[in-house]
Amino acid sequence: MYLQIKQLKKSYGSRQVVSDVDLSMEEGEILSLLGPSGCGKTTILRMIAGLVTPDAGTIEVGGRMLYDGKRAMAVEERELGMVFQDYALWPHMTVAQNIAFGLRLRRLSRAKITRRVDELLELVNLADFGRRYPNQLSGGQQQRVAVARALATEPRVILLDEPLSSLDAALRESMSGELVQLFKRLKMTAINVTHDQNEAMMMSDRIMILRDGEVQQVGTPQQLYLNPANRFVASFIGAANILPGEVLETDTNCVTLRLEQSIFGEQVAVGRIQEEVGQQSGDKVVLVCRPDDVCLHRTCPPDERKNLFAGTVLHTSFVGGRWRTTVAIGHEEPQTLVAFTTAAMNGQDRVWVELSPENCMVVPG
Amino acid sequence: MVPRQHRSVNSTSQISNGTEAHASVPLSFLPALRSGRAWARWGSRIGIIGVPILLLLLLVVYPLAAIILQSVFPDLYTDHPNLIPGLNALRDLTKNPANYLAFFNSLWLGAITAILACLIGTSLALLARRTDMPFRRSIDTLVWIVFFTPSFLVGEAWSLVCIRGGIPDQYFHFSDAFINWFFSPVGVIFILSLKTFPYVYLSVTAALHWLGSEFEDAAQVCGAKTWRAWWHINIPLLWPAILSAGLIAFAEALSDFGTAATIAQNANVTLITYQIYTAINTSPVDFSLAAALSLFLFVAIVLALGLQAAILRTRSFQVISGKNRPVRMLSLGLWKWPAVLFCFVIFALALLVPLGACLVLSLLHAFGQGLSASNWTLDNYQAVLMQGSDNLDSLGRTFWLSLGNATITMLVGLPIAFIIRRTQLPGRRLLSLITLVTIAVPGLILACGYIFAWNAPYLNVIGIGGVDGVQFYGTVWILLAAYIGGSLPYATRLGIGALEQVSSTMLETAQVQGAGLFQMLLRIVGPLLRSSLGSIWLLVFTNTMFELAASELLYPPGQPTMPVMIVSLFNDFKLGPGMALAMLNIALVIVAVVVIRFIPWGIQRMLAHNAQKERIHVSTDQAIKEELRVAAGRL
Repeated sequence: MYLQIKQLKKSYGSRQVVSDVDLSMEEGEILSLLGPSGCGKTTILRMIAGLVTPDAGTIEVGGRMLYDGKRAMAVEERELGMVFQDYALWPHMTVAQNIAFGLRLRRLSRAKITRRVDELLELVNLADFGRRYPNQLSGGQQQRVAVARALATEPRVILLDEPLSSLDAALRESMSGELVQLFKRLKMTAINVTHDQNEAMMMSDRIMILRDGEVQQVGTPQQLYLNPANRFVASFIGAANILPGEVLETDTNCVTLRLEQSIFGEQVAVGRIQEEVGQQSGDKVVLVCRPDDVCLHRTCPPDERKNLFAGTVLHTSFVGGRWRTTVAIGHEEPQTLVAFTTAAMNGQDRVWVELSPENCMVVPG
Repeated sequence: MVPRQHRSVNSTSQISNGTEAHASVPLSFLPALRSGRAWARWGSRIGIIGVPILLLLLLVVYPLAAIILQSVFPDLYTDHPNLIPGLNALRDLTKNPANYLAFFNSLWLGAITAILACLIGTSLALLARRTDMPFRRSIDTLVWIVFFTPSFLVGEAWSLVCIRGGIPDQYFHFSDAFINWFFSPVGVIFILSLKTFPYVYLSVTAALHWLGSEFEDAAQVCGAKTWRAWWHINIPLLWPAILSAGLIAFAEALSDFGTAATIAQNANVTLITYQIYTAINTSPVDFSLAAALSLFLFVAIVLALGLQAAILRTRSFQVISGKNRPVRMLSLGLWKWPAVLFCFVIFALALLVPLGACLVLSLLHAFGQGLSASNWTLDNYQAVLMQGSDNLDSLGRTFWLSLGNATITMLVGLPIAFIIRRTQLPGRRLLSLITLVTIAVPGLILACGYIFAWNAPYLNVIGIGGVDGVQFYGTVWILLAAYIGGSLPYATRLGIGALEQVSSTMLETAQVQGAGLFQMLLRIVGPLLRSSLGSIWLLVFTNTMFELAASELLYPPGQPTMPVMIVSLFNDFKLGPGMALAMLNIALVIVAVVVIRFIPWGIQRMLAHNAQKERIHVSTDQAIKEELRVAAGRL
């Protein structure tokens, strides 16, 4: 493993911001730390950079101990690259001077520095911008300068602290693509902190999902989407309809659960589970179904079907070429589901909602 | 790129183990940063952090401690020091009416001064910031000039304006009643108010900057008239700023020496600062009395500033949001002319009359002959500037001392500010507290402490002073040290204020890129703050050029500084040369301002023009003023 973090802990006063985080990465891998604000993702990044000293644990990069539980290597000796949310370009230096800063500290010859700076400017498509000052660049250009500066010293790992969050939506998308291509081409190991699940899914080989300083799940974007480890991951990665309940009986990879009585009375539902997750009867679980997988029927299907609920249309809106429809199901305290339909429906229409069992996952609540 | 696994050995102690770090194989074209340079880095770190702190301790903390020790152990600084505590000094203080009356005089005059300063400063701030008064934009500059004008000059000039037989008297024939009225506590309060209202102005304009118009707008939407919206909404919101600035004005009035030595003497009002000076400078010298008085004065000032800090902390309304809020100007209508007149009168009293009087007097042969044509002359300037004159010597001495002090203070203050604001070093809070408390110390008290601390017989043991030791006390160097000690705390606080504006990510990036403390200060912090550093330099330079209190106590025999020289010329009634010298002093300051502020600005403009490119990140003068204002508000 190229980067290895073990049992990393950090607390501020009595508040545990990072607890027992383990992480290992291959060289050249791009990993995103994803979570809501305050989940500790930035703290983890800053601990790797050395800007925050952990309470316990180890950090090792490329065979060098950056933190061994007691001694922390000085920030300036860690040979990492970092890109900040606000880019932190030094306003009193030109683009070229900004990029050359780390090289000058390493006392390279002038010719080498010039060559390297040109190379990097070329790399980030800013070949003619070396003599400009940061305030003469657009947000996207500044961002690329920040990346070039971080790459200049050939870091072992590049750390990105919400690098795209101050760009507008369109630029964000194209920049994330550019960055991934660049890192892949250089076989650069990168850790990207973000709270935007789309950005994380577009950029990363793997994603680590954090909540309140604890790792919820680590996996490829596909794994996280298809097999979320729990309710939080399910709702954080992609849109999800979530119905709470408790396990009635389990089969090899299929679970029958009783939905919450206050909402659904005695109704049961069926969903699949991952084999390794053994669920005991009586466990609190949730049924997760992606809006794309929800079927709406205007009339009750004639044959016996599982997971069929009567509902009322609340609202429809035309989003992304389809009708996004919200439906209320259940009795006393109706629950809202989201589905996509090809035709518009009217509010108060009676519909039948089908959540086919093969598209439903049962995960811990 | 090169596989990075091979680039270094596994080492957990890169910092301390230089040899092992050498074993790393830099296959990349980049040499490894960590190496034997680690030692050099630690060395420079100690230099950057240790030396400034040592200076702070030696030049500020130690002399102040000496005052306290002297007032408790009266024999500590005698030839045979002992630690027998005695309270004779404090008893003297209560027994001799001259002493405690001086203290009470200072207190009540300071209190009235503070009230007047609040009225003047607040009115000016409101007029300048929230109305459409003509010329409102020039008020800022004028207030800054008032801020820098030395009080001894204003005090002396006003004494000469109102004196019997003075030039105005020759034309207007003042009544006895007027002259008696002016040369009384009234005149002292008058001068002190004119000197202290800038503190209130700066504080209130800073508060107004964050206040915005939305509160008064909301009140008006609810149906309040403009005056009612102001009276019930904005003034209460500004109260903390006004009150805290009033306390600063009070503290400044208490510690002012220039007024005490000029007009207060002419008016036979003894203030505590002058009493301290007398205790040391007239025989029999009474060091323990001076120490006790200093302690009292210091405690009074610290109490006032502590109260001020408490007011700022407990302000219950969160007006400060860090955002610039939209501001609506109040239309004055016909009232704008009385408003202009009010401002004109204030600045005429604070600047035009005293500086005009100085200029006129510096151009007159003899004071008594009035403004007749034959009385105008440049002889005074000629006499002062004559080769080898004492006056010229003192001018040069003060100039070099100011240059040295401003430069050293700036260089030493920045690392201390950096430690306090941007590092996690243990003890930084204590350091911050020290700079906060010592900022309140008047130059006179500090100088008093220097006399005890650096003339102490026990220093002979380590080779300082005595017959054959290194001479420090009584040389020009102790003066420089006292200047540094006096300006270091506020240079540090201003530096902290400036550092707040540098986003921490810029520094963190530099660190991640491999910059150590020294590199970071040299290449990132210094250049980013260059305009603030310029302001701090100018502030210290100007203050030192006009520094009177510490100079009076510490100047080496026969080598007076310029303010000392000017005052002694006044005392000998050599008004022409004294005023000429004062004018030269002012001219030097103006030259410094032009060199530091406007020439770089001009060059930058020219370069920008030639290269047809936008100006790079320049904190404009406006930004610097804002910065100083915020810092001044915080002090």
